Amino acid sequence: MVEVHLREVARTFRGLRDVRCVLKGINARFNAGEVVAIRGDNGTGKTTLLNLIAGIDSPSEGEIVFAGDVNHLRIGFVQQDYTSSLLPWFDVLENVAIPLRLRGQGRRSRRECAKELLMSLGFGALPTNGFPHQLSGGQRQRVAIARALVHTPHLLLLDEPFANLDAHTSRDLQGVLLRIHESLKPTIVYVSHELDHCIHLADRVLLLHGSPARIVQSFSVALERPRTRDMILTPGYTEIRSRILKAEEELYAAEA
Amino acid sequence: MQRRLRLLPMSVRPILTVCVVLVAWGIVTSSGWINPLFLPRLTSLGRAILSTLSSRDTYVDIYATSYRALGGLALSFIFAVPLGLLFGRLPGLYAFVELPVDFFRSIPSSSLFLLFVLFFGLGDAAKIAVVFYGCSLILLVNTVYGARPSREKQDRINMLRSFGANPWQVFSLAVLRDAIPHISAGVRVCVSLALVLVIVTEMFLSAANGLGRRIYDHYLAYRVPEMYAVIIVLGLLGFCANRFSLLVEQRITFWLPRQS
Repeated sequence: MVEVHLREVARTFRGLRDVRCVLKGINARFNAGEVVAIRGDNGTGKTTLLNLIAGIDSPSEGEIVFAGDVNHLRIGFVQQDYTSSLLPWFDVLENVAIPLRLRGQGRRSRRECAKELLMSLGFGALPTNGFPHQLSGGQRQRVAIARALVHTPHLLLLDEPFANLDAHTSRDLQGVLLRIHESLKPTIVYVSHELDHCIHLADRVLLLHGSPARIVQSFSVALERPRTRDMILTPGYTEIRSRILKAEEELYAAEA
Repeated sequence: MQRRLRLLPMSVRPILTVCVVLVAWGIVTSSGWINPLFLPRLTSLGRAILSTLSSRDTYVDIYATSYRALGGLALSFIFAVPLGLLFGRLPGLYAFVELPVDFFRSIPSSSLFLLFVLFFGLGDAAKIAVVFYGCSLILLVNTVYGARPSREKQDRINMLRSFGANPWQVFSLAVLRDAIPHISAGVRVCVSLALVLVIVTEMFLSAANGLGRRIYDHYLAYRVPEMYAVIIVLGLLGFCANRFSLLVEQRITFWLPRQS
């Protein structure tokens, strides 16, 4: 179980002609086993924030501290562009098994692990020996999600994982994520434009807003788990949804 | 027309073309429209091909030409691919050499024959150096393009880094493999170029053997059918080399979607 603390995190990009501060003064704490959704406009720095947590990028100021079982910290990351993040020269099983390969696990054993995981996630219909270019968008996304889970991560980072997917596939994959959270209890940081997805999956929804962006508000989603699709009709769901929408409208009004 | 063509199997079509060319050759040479000094009769060409293929010297020539072409190509691969990968990943560094590389690429290798003779003498070294020069720059530029950062490549690198990949794993699993299609396309171009350069150097840089030398000898002695026979052997050698490199390219870039 891993906790993540963001303390006064800032990220500034320095170009040849300009300096662009994307994130400033980000303070947040993601508790162990918690699902936190981050919502914000295009270009506010949601992906940058996930990249910082994943260790792909480093903050210009502040620090990101992991607490808990950090000696063998395992991070699973589903990137926004899942198509290009799959390695085109590896088949489905080898793509899923990349985190195991990086840890030195042998070919046969890692492929077996990947196959078992696909079956347990209900992705058994995937063509395991197929290459990414032979898969549909939904199939590729399933591979990317399975890859992020194959090494049982402590921390799962999801960058708009259901963007560009049809409603049915998106619903299916949300169900998969909820099942994973129930069974493995990883800490999940989830970035999305879709408010309904955020409320359906998360314990908390954070609003990222401004330029440079800050976390301007946090909403607790007090819906019981396991979550189901029917919850969308409950008063609790409607109430949190309208609170978030109202807060966003106020932010835009203040900006205007 | 399209429907009739479809009845003809694909494998038969090139054979049919060769037959048409041979028939046309036969008609043109037997009718006396072209001087046999320029275009020999099919019978004398057939005899020349048989005697060329049965001569041990031909195989010595094939070996010598192949050795020079492959030697130059292998050296250019060893030199240009690692350098291209480095320059590709570090565009800031490549900016220092891009202009000289473009300048030297614009100089035809054949114009530097005599310069290489001056440096390496009249032996095999000068011929291999010409091939090395001609192929290195093509391979270098192709590899640079293959290794150059792009959004897609960066996504793959980021994915590996997020799973804790070390720099060597990032290089071997993403950077190198991303560059392979460009490198293999460069190698395929260089296979043909290497053969062209070796043949020309053998003709003009006083080689003791080699297919280029043999063609030139036959030309000086007016042995036109023999000259055609060596050209056909050379064509077969180039064709086989091309087919082989295409096969290797398809094997090592197995993941790329191909048109059927």
